[in-house]
Amino acid sequence: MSAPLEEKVEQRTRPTLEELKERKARNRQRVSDNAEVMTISMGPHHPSTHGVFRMDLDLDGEVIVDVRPEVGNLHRGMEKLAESKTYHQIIPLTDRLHYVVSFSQNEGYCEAVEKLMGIEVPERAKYIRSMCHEMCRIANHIIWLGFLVMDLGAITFQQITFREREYIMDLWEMLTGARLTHSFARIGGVAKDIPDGFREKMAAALEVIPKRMAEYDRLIRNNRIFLARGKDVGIFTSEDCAAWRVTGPTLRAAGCPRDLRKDEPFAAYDQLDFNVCVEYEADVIARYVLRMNEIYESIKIIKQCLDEMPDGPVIAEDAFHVIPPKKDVLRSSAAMIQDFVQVFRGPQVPKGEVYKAVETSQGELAFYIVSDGSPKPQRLRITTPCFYHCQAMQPLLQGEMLADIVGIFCGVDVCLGSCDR
Amino acid sequence: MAAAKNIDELSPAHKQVASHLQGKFGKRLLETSSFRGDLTYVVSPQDWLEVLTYCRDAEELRFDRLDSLLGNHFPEREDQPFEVIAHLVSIPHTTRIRIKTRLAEGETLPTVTGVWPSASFDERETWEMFGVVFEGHPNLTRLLTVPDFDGYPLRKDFPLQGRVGGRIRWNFKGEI
Amino acid sequence: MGLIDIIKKATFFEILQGMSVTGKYAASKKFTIEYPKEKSIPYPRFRGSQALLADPVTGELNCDACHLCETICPSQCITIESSETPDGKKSLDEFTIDLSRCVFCGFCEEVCPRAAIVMTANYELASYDKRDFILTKEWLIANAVHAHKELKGR
Repeated sequence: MSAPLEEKVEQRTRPTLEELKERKARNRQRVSDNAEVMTISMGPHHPSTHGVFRMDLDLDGEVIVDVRPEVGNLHRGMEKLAESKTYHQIIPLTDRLHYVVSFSQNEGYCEAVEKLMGIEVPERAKYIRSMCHEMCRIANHIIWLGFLVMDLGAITFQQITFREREYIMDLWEMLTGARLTHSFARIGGVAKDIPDGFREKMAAALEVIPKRMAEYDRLIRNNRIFLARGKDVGIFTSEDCAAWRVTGPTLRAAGCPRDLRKDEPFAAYDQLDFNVCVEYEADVIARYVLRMNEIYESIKIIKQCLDEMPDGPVIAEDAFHVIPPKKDVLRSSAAMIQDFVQVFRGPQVPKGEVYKAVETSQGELAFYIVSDGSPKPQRLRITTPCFYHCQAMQPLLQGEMLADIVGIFCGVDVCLGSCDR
Repeated sequence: MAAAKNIDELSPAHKQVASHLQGKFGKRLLETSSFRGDLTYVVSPQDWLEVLTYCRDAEELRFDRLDSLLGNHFPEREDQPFEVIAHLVSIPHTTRIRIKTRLAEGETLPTVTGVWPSASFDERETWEMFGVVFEGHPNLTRLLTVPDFDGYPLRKDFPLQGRVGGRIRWNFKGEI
Repeated sequence: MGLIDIIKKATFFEILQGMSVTGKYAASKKFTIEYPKEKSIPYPRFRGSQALLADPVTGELNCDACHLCETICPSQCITIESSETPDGKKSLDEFTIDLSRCVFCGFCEEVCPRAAIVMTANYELASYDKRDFILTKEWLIANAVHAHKELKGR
């Protein structure tokens, strides 16, 4: 594995919060008082908005005075729909929030339901979950980089990052049976154990990806266009992040070491050894460096997971909440009765409400479930990071130049399917 | 939900938060409960803004982030069918807390956009889905649904399917 | 800024560095497959369109018409009509899958107590006609040729 990117990228510094605020204020000064404001609408079908997102921009020349983000074009009423389905049937719905990190969303939902029902997940399932989380993170960060560089002007780059993502996609197909919408996590564990030949294929992919990342690095690291369009653009300090609920890599790129994998460990993260990457410059370049460092950390975590994974079942033996695995259903009558009960009546749920947040590659995804004792949730609220990232476009873009919108918007990593639910 | 059940489940950090809030607000916290380690307080709508502002500003609490703000509808509760729920997170202390308030039909709530600007989208969503009005919100308009949508979709009496909302057309003959 | 930096800036060193990566790939082997001519082979867990399996010896359908798959289906795309034969066994009359609703989650296969409905390797489902997406019982039985090999023996 090559060295982390921190030393490689030139002129990395650690500015204090005051310095960052001053830099941000310098950008804001571009907005003059007697501005002649023109309002234009950007989106919903603009190629760089990564979905159907519309912004009303108030422009003074090329300087952005104000932004009013408009979301909702992809609203599918998921929360209303979830109230008419049993806890098992909601799992495929959560795939369709952000289609790159489907598993993280499945897992986040299942964590919340397990917290509600008080299920203990087997150790092996926990390790598989952690591994899948990191596969999501690698795939997401790689194509994020592709889209960022494409938005900044290098169109071919996006195609070569898709090639590396293909390794992860093949692994997903091998492990879960689908390339995008995995529906792999189950209440009480995961659907299937890792198949034969998966370890070798994973090891091969983890060999290739760092090499290719070094190649990306050569392509853009010192490129003057990339540096000029990223440096000191879109500064967002950790205080702003807290006020606007911006989480994930954007928060960590502002110098705040907040990572739910460490702070509130879920899956097997409390048993794994990894570092939380932090950057301090809070601009687009810092977000790039942070995400690339996170990929190296993810590779480390996956190797650990595969090495330390204990043997055992991948789904909890819990007759009241869990659909039993298929091979048990075919062989034992007790499992078959459990299967029928779970499908026709649904899981037995205590009354109460839980809130569970997990760290996906965009930020903190949280599920709030209210149960009234029936097998269907009384209320399910999906708090997605992208919802707040879209909202934060307003403070992020004020005072920036029109041409920097695409870089900043891509820099915080927004998916509109996840935003609109 | 009985008052203060299972308080032993809480982590030491949460216990500190609980004792601090009890000492400060006392009787004004109408209900206290904890379920699976989540600490929940119910306050009256008049105390809503004060409690949330105190949670952010007090040095011992430092709930500097509003994780989510949402509504809920319980049609079986005749007098106060609506709930507004705020989840707060403290990044320095890594603690979480849930604060609720219960509202009657037509009752309003002061906005918290002055405390956490991130509440803006949340409050717009709560308004459009449940019809809970937030007084003082700068731009209380429809967020996820179309601007001329009719009704409040996440209320329990709103049907899942059918000719609702005013914009759903079934007969596309000759139009597409 | 040292002399070396100035020379690097003037000669567009970093652009050339990037272009060398591009040049290397111009001559390397292609990574993609040209779909209609060569097809990708799905892995054994791939979830394509469903099939109804029959007993290889007697030719009787495995399905007992227990309605489990119909109940669990999150998008409600499965419709089953069954009747009871004079000797008390349930027989399957209609089994329809609305493919335009199906989300390929694989729950129907997972809950099936008899290994009667399975997901296959068949992913070529595009059609010009919407009516082709209503999969009938006959279509699903015929689709069993695409079933993953390790499932057939079960």
